[in-house]
Amino acid sequence: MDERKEQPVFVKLDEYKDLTDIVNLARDKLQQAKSVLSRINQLKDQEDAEFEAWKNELAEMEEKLNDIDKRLMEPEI
Amino acid sequence: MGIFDAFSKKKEQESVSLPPPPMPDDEMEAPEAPAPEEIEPISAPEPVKIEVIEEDEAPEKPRKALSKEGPVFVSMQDYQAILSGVNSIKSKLGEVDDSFKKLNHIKAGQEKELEDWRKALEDVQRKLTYVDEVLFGK
Repeated sequence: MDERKEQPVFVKLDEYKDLTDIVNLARDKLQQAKSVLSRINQLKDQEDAEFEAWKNELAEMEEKLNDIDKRLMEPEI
Repeated sequence: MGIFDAFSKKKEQESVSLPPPPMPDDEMEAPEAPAPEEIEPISAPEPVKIEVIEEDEAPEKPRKALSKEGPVFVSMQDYQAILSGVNSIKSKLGEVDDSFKKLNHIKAGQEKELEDWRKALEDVQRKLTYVDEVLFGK
């Protein structure tokens, strides 16, 4: 049996320092992306609140328009 | 003569060479038992908590980055795992880029809808102003 198969094999990394620097940079960027996502979520919540207020105002306007329409079309004599 | 014969012979020799057991001695006195007050209370040791960690669940030891700048050798398994991780991250970055484009598209559509709505609102405001003038003669 060939004994060389039992031996561990290693791979040489010449630019180890550069690799670790890039990994750390990528980790920092990932943290920044998470912060940006969190802020966007907050803005989206505010936007949703504005849309809800807009929807309520539109409903009130529609109610008043219906009332005006009714008074114009079926006036009380 | 067989093997077992040799053992039996050895056993016979041992039994012959053994000294006779000591006879009970009546003159020997047993040491007196200490009084109950003299006995120091012995506290039971704290039970040792044994944590059984399965090999698969064992926490991976944090690896400390080497500070050297020269070449470093990593095992083939680690190398393959690193390559796989890098490819996975590249794939995820592509997906994130697609999501970013979709979000931009959605945002542009939202901007257009808001602009159209703003124009419609201005139109309604002009018409309501006209109705106001007609009704109240301002």
